[in-house]
Amino acid sequence: MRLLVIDTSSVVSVALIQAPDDSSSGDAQILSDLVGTDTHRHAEDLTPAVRSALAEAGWDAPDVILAGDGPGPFTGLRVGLATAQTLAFAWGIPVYGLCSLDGLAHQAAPLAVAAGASELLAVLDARRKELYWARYSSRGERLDGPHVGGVETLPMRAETLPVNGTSLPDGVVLAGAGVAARSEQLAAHPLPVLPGTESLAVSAAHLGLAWLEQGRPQDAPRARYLRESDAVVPGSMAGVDVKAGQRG
Amino acid sequence: MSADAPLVLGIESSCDETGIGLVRGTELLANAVASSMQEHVRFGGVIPEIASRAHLESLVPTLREALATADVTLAEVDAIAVTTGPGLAGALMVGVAGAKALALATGKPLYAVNHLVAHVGVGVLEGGELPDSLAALLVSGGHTEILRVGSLSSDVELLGSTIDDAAGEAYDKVARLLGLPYPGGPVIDKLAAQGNPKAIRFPRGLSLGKFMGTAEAPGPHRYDFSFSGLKTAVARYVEDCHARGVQVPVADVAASFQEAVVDVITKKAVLACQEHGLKNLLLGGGVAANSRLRELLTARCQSAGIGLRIPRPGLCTDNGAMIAALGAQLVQAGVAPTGTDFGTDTGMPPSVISLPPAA
Repeated sequence: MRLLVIDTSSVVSVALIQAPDDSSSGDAQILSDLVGTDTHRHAEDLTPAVRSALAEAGWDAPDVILAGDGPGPFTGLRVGLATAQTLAFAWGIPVYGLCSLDGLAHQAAPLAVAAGASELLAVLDARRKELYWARYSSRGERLDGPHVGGVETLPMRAETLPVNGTSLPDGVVLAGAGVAARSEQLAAHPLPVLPGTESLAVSAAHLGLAWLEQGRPQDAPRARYLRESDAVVPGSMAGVDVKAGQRG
Repeated sequence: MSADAPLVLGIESSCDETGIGLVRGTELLANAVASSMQEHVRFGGVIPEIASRAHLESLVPTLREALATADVTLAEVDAIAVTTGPGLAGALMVGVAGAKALALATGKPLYAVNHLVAHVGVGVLEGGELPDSLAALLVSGGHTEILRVGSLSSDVELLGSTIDDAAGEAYDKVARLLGLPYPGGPVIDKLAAQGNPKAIRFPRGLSLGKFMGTAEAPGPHRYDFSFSGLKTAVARYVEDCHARGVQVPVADVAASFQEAVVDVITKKAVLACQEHGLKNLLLGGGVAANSRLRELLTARCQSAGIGLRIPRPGLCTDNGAMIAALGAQLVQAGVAPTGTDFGTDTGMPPSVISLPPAA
């Protein structure tokens, strides 16, 4: 099975994976693994990146598309999902969605184990001084999330902040590009950072491997915005009866 | 590819309409539109994030609908065209992402085109090739422009535009002041029919001599518009009614406001045609549905000997068929496609009809 993976929850990331045709996750071969550096050029860069990956691998088209469906800053996230859905429609192949943070956790979990950690919080930049985050076991299983919120909304160890409702075991670490993006707010946070992961973006290759290891779930991609559109009904509209067209 | 009648798929997502159109040469095959307008009603205007979310939901279903209506397959399409600007950045990006994906999956050439020029290009779908010596007046919730159209594929010039609000935006804001629902255009148009357009003398923006100048020595805003002051004048009038404890004569305000908008738009459009020796005018944009605008523009064009063309309402509002129609003109003229290395351009000037291929 030829798998194309797209993730735009942080940077542009594209991977091609040759996986066994049966549902096993063994012997998956990563043929292409691109992780960009720019977080504001999704519309420009994504399709050219997919094009060059396909050309390099000599594929006309994949058999399946997997899209990281966030959470992530809205505009970039939509570019990835619109691209994945339209490609799938045009090729007549299925497209599935998976939480982008699962890819981050898949990459960081072995490092966390090596560092002796028991769990990890995968964090990505949500802008507005906030983080997208989810909590994972050392095997990369999602235990809680995804969520969005300020640093103060992250679970902390019970002994460091007894009033916090969430009790965490010892050895929980932070991992992901959210660390570097929110370093100022995280400076006073009690959880240690998994070394070397401070700027880690979501890798499409790891997202694809996470999907294979999860047994290839067939969820339709749906943008995980986690926030409302922020639109506020103007005061002067409050009394308008939209049906009668008169102030009610 | 059929050079005389290429089959082109057009994608539009610059504001609150997700449009996919299919055109063969100058023949309209499909014009599928999904609008998020109802979701914006309670806010009194388009909320970009809500529009962008709706585009993502509607993109593939609208594409599927257009292909089914036209009874063609993607493989039969000769080229793809997409609005790359001007418009709302987040909204544009959904259509651009979808268009690039289609181009990649099908191997078809992609044109990144100008939304404003496409409002003119749609004219070919009704009555075929556009006349020579052509100007265009575009009036919508996001735009108010006068263009000189030498050639749809190679020569478009901006003669004038609004320096603040678009005309449709002024309608929405005035509707809000009067406690009327969004969108303001249709409801004000309807109410105005029952009011006296001469009841209140509202200002005609940028009509003074210092802005207009003369044909020989044009002022700084001879063909430009301004509706912000008009909106303020309406607000002052309504406040004054409240202060005096009298009921706002809503129909008279609507009629007088509409007359001020339509008077200055039609006057300047006809003036621009006359001073540039242009014998034909095409009206486009959502506000082209306004009854008073059509009436007064028809009358003034007639007295000035200018031929007026107004596409039917479904082609004047934002749609994918207009993007496809312009795309077909570009294919026929042999213009090089853009490719897939480009971004959106929220402020794309009408002189840029389509983006050139990346160097």
